[in-house]
Amino acid sequence: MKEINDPQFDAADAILRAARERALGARPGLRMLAITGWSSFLGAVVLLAAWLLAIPHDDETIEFGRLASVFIVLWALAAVPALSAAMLAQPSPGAFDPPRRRH
Amino acid sequence: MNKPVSTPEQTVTFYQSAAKIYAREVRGRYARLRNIAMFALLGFYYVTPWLSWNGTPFVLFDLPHRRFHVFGLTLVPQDFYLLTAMLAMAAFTLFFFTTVGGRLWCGYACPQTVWTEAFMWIERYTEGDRYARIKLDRAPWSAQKILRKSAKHLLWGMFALYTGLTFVAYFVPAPQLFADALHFNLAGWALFWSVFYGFATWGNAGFLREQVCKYMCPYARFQSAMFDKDTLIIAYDEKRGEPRKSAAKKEGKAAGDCIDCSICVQVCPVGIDIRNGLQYECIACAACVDACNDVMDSVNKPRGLIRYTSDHHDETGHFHIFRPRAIGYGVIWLLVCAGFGVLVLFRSPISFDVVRDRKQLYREMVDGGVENVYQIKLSNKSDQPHRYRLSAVFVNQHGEDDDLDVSLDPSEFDAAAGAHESVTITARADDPHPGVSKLKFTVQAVDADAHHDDHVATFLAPSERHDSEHDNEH
Repeated sequence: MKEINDPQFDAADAILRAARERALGARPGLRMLAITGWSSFLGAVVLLAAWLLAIPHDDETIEFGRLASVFIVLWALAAVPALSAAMLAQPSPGAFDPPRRRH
Repeated sequence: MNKPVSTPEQTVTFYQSAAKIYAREVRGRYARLRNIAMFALLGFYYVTPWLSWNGTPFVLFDLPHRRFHVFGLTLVPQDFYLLTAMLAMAAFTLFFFTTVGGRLWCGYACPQTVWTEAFMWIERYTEGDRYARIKLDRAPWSAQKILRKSAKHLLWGMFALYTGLTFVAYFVPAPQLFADALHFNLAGWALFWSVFYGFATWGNAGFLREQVCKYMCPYARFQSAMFDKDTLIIAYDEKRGEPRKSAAKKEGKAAGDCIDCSICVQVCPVGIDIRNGLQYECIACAACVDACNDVMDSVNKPRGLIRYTSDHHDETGHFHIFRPRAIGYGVIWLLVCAGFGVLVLFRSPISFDVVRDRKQLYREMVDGGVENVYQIKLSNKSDQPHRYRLSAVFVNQHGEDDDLDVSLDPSEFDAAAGAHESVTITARADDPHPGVSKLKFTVQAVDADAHHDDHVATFLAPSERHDSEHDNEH
């Protein structure tokens, strides 16, 4: 092994904690944004392929500008179910609270 | 999956200011395999847009004209069913190889892994090994730090921009795109998407890294649906490793083979401890396997304390590859691949349809002939314009040719490359069968024998033939 072993930096717990708290790990809002953005982007790519191939366009040449506009619209549309699923997948408020007793 | 084992809390001071994973470099068999895969896949990605086949780009998604050139095959909208077949093939490839080999895709072939490996290599080149990078991040800003960080981001930026340009080269011909880029003439959507994908590459591979795998990729989450007890996983041999050296010393027991060096954690690009059991974050890159084998060699112990195994292998010592689930997925995968191969091999370069004009049944001519009008619809799916010749014969109920004469007008027409033509023709028979009969139309490209197709349509004639000689008598 060429690298130096230094106990000050090599404790497994510290590495695990850093990994858990890094970037999206400690920021649930940003995490949901990333998940929604990425999922809807994938959806928009598939929808664009379907729009190009399955919808009749006669023999017209589709300009890149129009493709870009269509892609952005599809991305926005795909964001709706992605965001809904991400929000619904969150635990309900009070889901882990102990049950209240009636007196 | 094994349940994670909790680790004792320890006071740490050095990671609190900046949570970051400083993956240690590892060498070994699986690191070599990963490097080979990285070079092969990156090479394929960067070289492919420059290749051509029979005068057309080897891979080009011509979105404006809706023509997709893929490995010598040109797909047009009429080939939508092939896209469906390709997606089915990709899905079953994923299911089959995941069931048998685990997360091979994640560890060796996924673009996120491949580009992250390349970016990490650049980071090591500019900022040094793990220890040096930690020291650099903790150090105050100085000329040395600015120089190293700038060099890293400059190299990252150039590599990312080249990646973005190459991505756009799959949609715009590469020679034209790169010539424009080199002359700073790139503008409009080509410039936007090059910068967009370049920025995405820089962000994903430079900063997000394992965050994409952990939080954004769905593949890790449905592993449990595809894994079984015989799927290949990376696991720590608890029976052999526990109790670890440090714990054994405190408890006064004989130590297992694990010397608790934590190098398996240091090399992990996703920041997990594989000794806690298989976790969904593990991308099966096998860096911990190489690292642990290296440590075992240095302490004269057998390799394989962390290794590729399966739950069943851990229990019985045997791998069970040929099992119902794997065989089932394998058979379906082969059938889908074969089906796709057949569809591609027997794909016709033309799409041909004949529709009879329903506005009139037939036309009776003065000389006794009968005419029907048809709409010929032809798609020329090839990359070259062709001239097509039409012919027609009557067929009986058994599909055999009749000897009745039939002529078509026009009998030839042209179709441009990729064009969809609609031509109105007249079919004339001098002495057709009364009532309904079948007419088989054949289209043949004049200069390409392989471009031919036929289609059977209905020909209508009067039920009782009209005797024009007796008309004058009345």
